[in-house]
Amino acid sequence: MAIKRKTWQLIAQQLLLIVLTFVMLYPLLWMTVSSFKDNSTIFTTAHSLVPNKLNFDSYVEGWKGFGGITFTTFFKNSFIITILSTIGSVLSSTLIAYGFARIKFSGKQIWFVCMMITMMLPYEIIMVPQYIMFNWFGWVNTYWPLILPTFFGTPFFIFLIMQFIRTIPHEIDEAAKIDGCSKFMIFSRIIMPLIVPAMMTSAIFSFYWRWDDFMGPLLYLNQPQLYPVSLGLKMFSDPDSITNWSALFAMSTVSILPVFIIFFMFQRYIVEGISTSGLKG
Amino acid sequence: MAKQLTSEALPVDLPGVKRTRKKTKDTDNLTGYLFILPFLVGFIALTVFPVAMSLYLSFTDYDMLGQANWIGLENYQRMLTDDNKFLQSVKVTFFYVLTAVPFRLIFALAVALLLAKVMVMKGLYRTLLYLPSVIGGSVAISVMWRQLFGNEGALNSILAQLGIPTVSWLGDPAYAIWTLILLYGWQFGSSMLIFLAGLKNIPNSYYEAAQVDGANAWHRFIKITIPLLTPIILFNVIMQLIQGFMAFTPSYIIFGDGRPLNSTLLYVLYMFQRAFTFFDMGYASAMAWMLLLVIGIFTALIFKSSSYWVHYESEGDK
Amino acid sequence: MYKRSTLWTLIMTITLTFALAACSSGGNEPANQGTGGNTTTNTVDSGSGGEGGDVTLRLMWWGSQTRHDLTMEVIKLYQEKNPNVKIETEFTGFDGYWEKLAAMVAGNNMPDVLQMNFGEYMTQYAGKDVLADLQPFVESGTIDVSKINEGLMESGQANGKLLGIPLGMNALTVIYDEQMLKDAGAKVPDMNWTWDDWKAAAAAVHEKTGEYGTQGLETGNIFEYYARQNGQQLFNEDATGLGYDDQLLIDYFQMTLDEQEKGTYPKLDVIMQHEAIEDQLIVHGKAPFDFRWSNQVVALTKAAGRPLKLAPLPGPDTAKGMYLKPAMFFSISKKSKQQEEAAKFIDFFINDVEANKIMNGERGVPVNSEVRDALAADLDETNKMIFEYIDMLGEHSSPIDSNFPPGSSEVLAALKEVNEQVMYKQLTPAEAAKEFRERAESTIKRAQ
Repeated sequence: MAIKRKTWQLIAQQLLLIVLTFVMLYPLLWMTVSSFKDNSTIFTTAHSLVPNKLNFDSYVEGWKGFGGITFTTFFKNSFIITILSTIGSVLSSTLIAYGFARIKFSGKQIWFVCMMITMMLPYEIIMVPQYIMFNWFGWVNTYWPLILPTFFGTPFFIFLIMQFIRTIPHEIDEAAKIDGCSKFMIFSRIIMPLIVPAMMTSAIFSFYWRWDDFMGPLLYLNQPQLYPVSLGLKMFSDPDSITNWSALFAMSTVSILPVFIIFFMFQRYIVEGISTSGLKG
Repeated sequence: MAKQLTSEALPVDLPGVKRTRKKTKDTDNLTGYLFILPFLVGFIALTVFPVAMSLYLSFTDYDMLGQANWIGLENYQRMLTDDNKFLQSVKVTFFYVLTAVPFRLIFALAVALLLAKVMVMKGLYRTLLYLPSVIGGSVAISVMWRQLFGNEGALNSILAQLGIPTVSWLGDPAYAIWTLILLYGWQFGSSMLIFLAGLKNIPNSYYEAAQVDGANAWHRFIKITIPLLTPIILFNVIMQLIQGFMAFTPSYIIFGDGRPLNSTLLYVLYMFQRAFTFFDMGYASAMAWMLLLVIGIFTALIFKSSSYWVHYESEGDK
Repeated sequence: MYKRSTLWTLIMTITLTFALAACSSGGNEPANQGTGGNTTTNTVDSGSGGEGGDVTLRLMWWGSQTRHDLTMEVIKLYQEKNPNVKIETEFTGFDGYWEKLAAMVAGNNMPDVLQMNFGEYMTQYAGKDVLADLQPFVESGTIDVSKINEGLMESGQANGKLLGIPLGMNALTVIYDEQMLKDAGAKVPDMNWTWDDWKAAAAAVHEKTGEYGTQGLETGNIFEYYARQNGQQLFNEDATGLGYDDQLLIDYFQMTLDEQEKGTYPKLDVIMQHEAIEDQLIVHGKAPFDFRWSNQVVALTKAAGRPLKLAPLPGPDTAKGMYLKPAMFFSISKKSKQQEEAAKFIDFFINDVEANKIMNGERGVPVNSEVRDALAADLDETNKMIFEYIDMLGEHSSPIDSNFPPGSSEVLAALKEVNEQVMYKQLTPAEAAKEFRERAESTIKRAQ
């Protein structure tokens, strides 16, 4: 009897999830299907989720890119920017978060408030002064403005990781201290393994945000050879002339793949992280 | 800002303040500053200048192309006394934040709880449900969303089938904002992920102990899951509030300029228009600092309240 | 456990090294690669190696895939003909172009040659003294404008200076579905059709098919035409205020409102749902008329998959109202140290037949009449129709009004807003005209 009830629960769960997933993914499916349609029929057949034929031309056409610069270049650039800044961002944010969450030092409160404030100003306002500054540094048309700042921590991740550290009982630190661990050792050997889920969450976000970031690269990169995918996608459309919609959708679909793969690979560390040891509770 | 926040309000302990249990001997300035050094360097070298400059510009008539002339408080004055569009955008934004943020958070928590239970293909579901957050600002969404909510769109077809009167989602000023609220809820992936990670961090032993005590599922949820999740809830509430106030892309890509009748004129969208369409960067900077003030007050209040409802394992029982 | 922390240290070190390497290579790369395909650069480099007088021009534009591809080819051609010049291209989509340009101006880092838009943008930049006066280059013959329509050349002028050279020609047009009109027994537009003809045809189609009689009108452009055909202007001559009588705007609002009441004119939600060019009502066969810029006809026809025709906007006095508009300009930065070379490139871009054969009218109908003739033979049906339409307007139009006051982008946004309020019946046409005048005048006053 109990088993039967469980089976039904399982089926109900699955059904609910399938419906939910379909509803959530409908726009995504629409985009992918549209990428296979002829450019001219995308809007006239917008209601249909079945392409009239499988037209891979849009992928070939889209990948060719612009003026001889293909999406191979854009993808390569995106990977450089994204991977470096994700590693930088997650590592430094973890360090900083530990400092804020676990160590007592004077002036901490003020710095924390400063950090929160930086998240409350819209980037659209900061970007012109920032451009002027990076231009002084001679960093325009390089990757410096896109990568280097991430090595100084990202407030969102710092705060996130802090909150996770604060769910870990102090007793663990105390015990380690009695065993003669320094603060750094407590951080690297005890706290870090416990907050892997938070770090992985940050890594996934960081990867996607950097991958998707459009304004930063647009401002700081001048030459299309340096553009990432996010900028490449914007170059298909001009409201006044012909937009190659199917190529745009095709490349949009391809550009989601790395995010998808990264997520799929990393998500289990969030939920099945290595933190199942007996340290807790 | 710092003055408004008391030590209780902050998620960091301050030495020498009554509330903290530990004595000053635990204070370790050197180690502390070493750990936050990357932040300090970045803050001083890269952040202070643009932030300070935007504050300065808010007192000028800067238009990005020419000189910035000091005009004192004129921008702030005009904003509060002589700009109906500003007031409209404030109204729209408050409504948006107060509906969209709870909507997204509750939805994200519900899905996270569901996913935490699923056994079959859980990785796939997690991934697929996160995907909507991944195409947020793309052109495809703007095209798609207008198709979905159009008069003969998918949503109205469903409503008609169910016998519910259909609505002009895009054209009726009373409903247009709801398409943006739905869009915000649809992209619940990041909050969901954080909740999932938080759920994971709750030790199983607590549940096991509760089960031995005969607590039912609802009790376990109320007595264990929610309290232990509060640090994460606090994080999500604060970050979503900030993001909600700063939301801009959804309205920009779907309605463009606040149509119909400025009913989707989000605050940052209007600020963006002033800065880059009307070349009124000084005024836009003033708007940004006004926004900072409002978000700051909200955040401070939430931090202040957090000592009543957020449960930190690390602070244990006093 | 010990291993783990060494691992992290290792990762961190590698990452930092990587970051340094990537960043510096990011800086050097463009210098090595130059523009476009490697082949171009290689030939250019070998051709000019060691010689003096090498010039590097930075060129910036927005556009979509076709424009990027074709422009790169033209640049390749120019570099072959001028081995001492290297052109660094900086191109993007339309989205974000103006934000980027504004940041560049603020950071004092403008490209030598940049694509510029007529109207609000040109006015804004003209007022700030950041664009070079091109008059000297025209006078010295570096830029040959003798084959360009004079009225069109005026559009690049502001404050007595020539700040932009038009790259293509555009004009407002009514695109119509002849079959749909004929099926409804409606009169097909000709050179002398009027607003009354438009209303009658729209009503006939609406009655017969139940579809819309027309696509909505884009208030700013169409009302400007409406004012012009009535002998007035949107802005006054010295660009200090509005240049029409309120009754005119009231009439215009009343006309569109009446059409909406009759059901021939779509409501805002319908207009919004069909925003992309490829998604217009006329494409779907849901309306016989569409008011647009002539360069958008290509995309529209392609999406519709059937021939559509062009007519000038409804009369009376069509020729007074119609004008040729520069599709876009090339401007030169005032700070550029290579204005002469930049001017030479612009001259090539507008006057060279071979270059324009490559571009094939992508930036609008070529401005040089000889180039236009040279291209005419190879055009497809749609483009031929557009060329003929523009040629016809050369005779039947009046010079464009370029007296946009500072703050005009905000004024035009306000016009759009009050128009919406009229269509939603929040304001009567009379109230709306009054409100718009108040808002426009206070905006212009503040911006001056």
